[in-house]
Amino acid sequence: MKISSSKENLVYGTQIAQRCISSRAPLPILNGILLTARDHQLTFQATDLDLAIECATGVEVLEEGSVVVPARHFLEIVRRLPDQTIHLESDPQTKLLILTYGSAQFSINTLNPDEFPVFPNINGNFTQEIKQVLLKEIIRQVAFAASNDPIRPLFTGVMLEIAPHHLLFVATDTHRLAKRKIEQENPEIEQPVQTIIPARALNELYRLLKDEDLPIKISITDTHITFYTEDFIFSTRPIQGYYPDYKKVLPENYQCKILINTTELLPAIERASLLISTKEGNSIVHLTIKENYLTVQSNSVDLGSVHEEIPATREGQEIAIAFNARYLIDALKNMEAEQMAIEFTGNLGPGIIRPVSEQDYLYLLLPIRT
Amino acid sequence: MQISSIIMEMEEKIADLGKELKAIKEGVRALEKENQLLRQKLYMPSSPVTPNESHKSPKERKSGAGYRNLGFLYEEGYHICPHNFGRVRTEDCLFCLSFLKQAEGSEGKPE
Repeated sequence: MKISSSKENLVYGTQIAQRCISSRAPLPILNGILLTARDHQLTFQATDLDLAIECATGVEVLEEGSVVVPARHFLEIVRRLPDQTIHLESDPQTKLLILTYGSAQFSINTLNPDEFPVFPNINGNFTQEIKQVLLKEIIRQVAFAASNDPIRPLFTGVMLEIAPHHLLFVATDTHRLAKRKIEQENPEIEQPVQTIIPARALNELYRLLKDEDLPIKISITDTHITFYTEDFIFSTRPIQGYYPDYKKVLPENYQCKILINTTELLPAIERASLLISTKEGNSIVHLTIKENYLTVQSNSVDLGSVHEEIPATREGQEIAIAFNARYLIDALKNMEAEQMAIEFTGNLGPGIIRPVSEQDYLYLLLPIRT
Repeated sequence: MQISSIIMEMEEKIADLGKELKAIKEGVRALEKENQLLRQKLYMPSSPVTPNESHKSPKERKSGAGYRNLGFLYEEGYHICPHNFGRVRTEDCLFCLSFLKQAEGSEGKPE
């Protein structure tokens, strides 16, 4: 392989590809990025066998070929190169990649490209298109509610349902649940299709997406879920299994509903959460809805106590309930809405939070028994 | 002299081991008894058959007792939902609660 490229293009491709390099890779080859020079392009591919990323940049190809470079090492090197044309040439005999810039030379040991895993076949049965900025918002609103517990793999994923008239994203760790629905006509689909995307993959994808109206295509097969953009291809294995019937846990009615400003509620909960009040380090906030205000209370034997009153519009009974402060903060931070509607189904029943401006989003959380 | 002192030491050690073994046996017996009691508590109906229940068929009574037992298991700190059944839970579970609520609803339904 022999190419000439700008430093910018090398940094760009390496930064994207190294996102799926795991620090605990089971095989040394998985610590590498496969560089392939062909047709005026340099393709960067990396995988940890669960996630796979591919991107390409335009370069001058003098001799086609491929080489595997150690990802972290290569990124640190190209980041520190001078802003000028860099010539890369691989030597199969010595297994070295020689970077030449000006009168200087940098040699890097490479790995055997034949050992690099074959990239997944990513032609899906269903392809959906959505705006990158919207997918980013959905990931931010939903993925945090998935579990981190590897013992229960099903709950570490986000369920994606593609139906003829909507897309639906649901995540739950069994204590809370986040759901976002997008009204969208999907003429290709006759029956709803479900798949479970690992939340970890979505969080990595989130970092690659742009805050722009650019399209991203989602392609689904039984073994891979692939996201295509102009800049990269991102593929992940779905979590196998049937997602639990989340509809059963959604309450049909409520005892009390309040409308409240997020700008007042979120800081009050954050202040209250400073008082750690359980052995596990969780902070419990007690909410009391009386007349037309909500009281936020928290106390810790060691640290002290807090009591704040926030105006709220109430409909239904008065209620007293306690929540894990972190679960409340996670939701309020990710909604980015000025006003929230919170529905309470009883002091031991789940609470539902919805942004007033966006009825397609729902966050459900269980109270804490105190 | 040396041999007799070694034998005496060994006798003391054996006596100590015997005491430890006795204590372990007593512990095992206590645990077995407790286990038996807990099993009885778990699998026996918690309350005598109520007048309402006396109208129900044995199958219905059995299923009511089953739900109650699941309720006890949940209160003891175990998941009863299909995806996590039997796993220790640290917080309330949406799916277990939904299952219990559903069970309550089906028990309360008129025939």
